[in-house]
Formats: sequence, structure tokens, C-alpha cells
Amino acid sequence: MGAEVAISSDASEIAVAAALRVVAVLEARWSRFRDDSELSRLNRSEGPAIVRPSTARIIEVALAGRRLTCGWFDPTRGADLAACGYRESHDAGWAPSRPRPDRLGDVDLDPESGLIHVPNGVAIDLGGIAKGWAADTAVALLRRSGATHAGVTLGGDVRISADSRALVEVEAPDAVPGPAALVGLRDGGVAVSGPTRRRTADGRHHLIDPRTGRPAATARVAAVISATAAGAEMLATAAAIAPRAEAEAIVAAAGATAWLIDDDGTRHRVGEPERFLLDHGWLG
Amino acid sequence: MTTPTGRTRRPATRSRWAATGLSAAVTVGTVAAMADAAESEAPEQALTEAGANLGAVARHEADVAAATLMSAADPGAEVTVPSLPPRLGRAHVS
Repeated sequence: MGAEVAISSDASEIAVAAALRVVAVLEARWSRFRDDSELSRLNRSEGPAIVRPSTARIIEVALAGRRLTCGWFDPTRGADLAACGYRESHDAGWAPSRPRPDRLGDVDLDPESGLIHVPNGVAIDLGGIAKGWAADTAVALLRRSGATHAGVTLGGDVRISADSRALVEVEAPDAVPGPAALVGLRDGGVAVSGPTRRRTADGRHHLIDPRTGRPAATARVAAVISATAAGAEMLATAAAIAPRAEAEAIVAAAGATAWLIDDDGTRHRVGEPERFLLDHGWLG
Repeated sequence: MTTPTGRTRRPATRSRWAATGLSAAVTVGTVAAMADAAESEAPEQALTEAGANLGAVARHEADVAAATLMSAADPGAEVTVPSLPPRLGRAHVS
């Protein structure tokens, strides 16, 4: 994770402090960039391990997300990211490294007991879901405290829940310059994925093609709105690298809404963007 | 104003201030308790809120859970300009 967080809510200061605290706890628990995180310890373990219920739950859902996205979102590609040089939070920069060997075994998880086995050579990376999950959790906490509206922005992912429609500004990525877009939603998440950040010195990006374990040869910008930030994040990650027809099918099957912008600037809409879009901006 | 014992009665504003002080003390305690809870195992229910929100979905039904997370958002009712709703988030490429 290692991302900035912003909270906008009419919740009490206590509730906001608690929400920030929960985000910090989850960051400490699930960051791949912290040696002392539960996730890092799990990835270093050389046999079965027991993880906290919350960690078992997010891994369980992430693995399910992999199935539902036909493998284009894959939380078991942490070793590929590390092998390609992505070992630090993107703000710290990263350098290319060695390629990863062929695909290895899969993660074996018993969600009831938290017993999990991560095969040697495999590493779990929750970077494509954890920020959204934390934002979802923080917003749920704020709303339970009685807030009429709550919005959490965490590393670019946004979760909104409000009594009435609220606004989310969607910044234009580097590759698709333009004015920010404005979307309105009462309850849902927004995530944007694309090859425009976290580049290596030789220009490669962080979006790993699960078929090769290497940065995807072609990647597009995908902006997704779905029921939760975690869901939007998984879909955006998959839609950014899957072949376009498959990306559209995955988003449509989920019932979500997305804008897909190809390398050449061609825009494709999935779902019913007009229900959300208040100002087209760069998404136009 | 004096009390039956001859002491000066504290003004009502002082009483209200005292009550506020008590409230503040409770508030500080609550913050500490919540922070402690967040660090311990206790808040697992809160930390799995994204899953808990799914209601009756069984824990092992992860596919259903993930599908629910990724399903359609609620756009809410259209607003009438100029009563713009609050701006609660700023998304960008991650």
C-alpha cells in the first residue's frame, strides 16, 4: 500500500481518527513493502502458516477475484513484481531486475482456520485490492458512527457512501491528458489503473501480464466504478491488461461501469457511464 | 448568589463547562480504546467489514463475495443544479 489517505465526512473526530487508525493497521498488515507486515512474513514462510481472519478473508476474496476476472487480476504475482524490480512503493522508484521463472504452484487457503500455504517462489501481492478494501472498511466505520456522508481516498482509489449523491473527481492520467472528470454516486467505489505510473528506468510499468510474469506488452487506462473500491480496483487492474473484448466482458459480467482508453486514445464505454458522469473531462 | 452554607454558588455556565469537560474526558478515553482495539485482534469484525457487509453470504462463498464487491454502484438520484453535492473523493491512476 504505502499510499496517502484523505477522508471527507461529517463523522465525529473520534470516528475519523478511528477510521484513519484502521487504515494504518491494514497498511501495516498487508503492505508488501514492509518487512514486518503480516503479508511479508507470510510470503517468507517456508511452510503452512496461520494468518489473521481479516488477512485470510482478503486473500480468499482476492483469489475469487482472480477466478472472476479470468486470471487477469492475480494476487499471486507478487514474485513477478519483485523480480521485475518493483520492490518499493512507487513513490520510492524502482529498477528492473531479473525475469521470473515459469509459473509455480498455487496458494492453498483454508479460510475458516486461516491456515494458508504459499508455495516457494510464489508471493502474494494485495496491491490490486488492499487499498480499496481499506477504503471500504474505513467508510463503513464512518457510516456506522452516524455520518451522513463519508468518502475515503486511498492511493487514488475512492470509496463513497452517502445519504445522497456525492461527487468524485477523477484525475486525468499522464497518458490521457485533459481536465478532470466529475462523477456522481451515492454508494460505490472508483479506481483507475493504467501504465502511467510506477515505471522503471527503462520505461516498463507495474502491470504484470499473468501469462508471462512480465510487464504487459500492451496496457490501457481503465477507470472503473463498482459497488466497492476493492471491487473497482480488481476490475480496473484486470481491464487494464486483458484484451479489450475480454476486458469489456469481465466488467460487463460484474455489472460495473468502466471507461477503457487504448494506447491510441480510443475510448470504450462499458455499462451505463451516463448514470454517473456529470462532467466528461478526460473521460469524454 | 450564595448557597445555604454561605458559599458563592457557581454560575450555571461553570456547570455546563464542567459537563463539557467530563464529556471530553470520555471522548479521549473512547479514542484510546478504539485505537487499542484497532491494534488488537478485537476489530477483526470491523476489518472484515467489506465481507461482513455482504450479510448472509457464507465465508467460503468467496466467489459470490467477490462478485458482490465488483457489482454495480449506486449512482443515487440526480441532483438539481445549483445544489451541488459535496465532493468527497479524488481518484487517480494507482
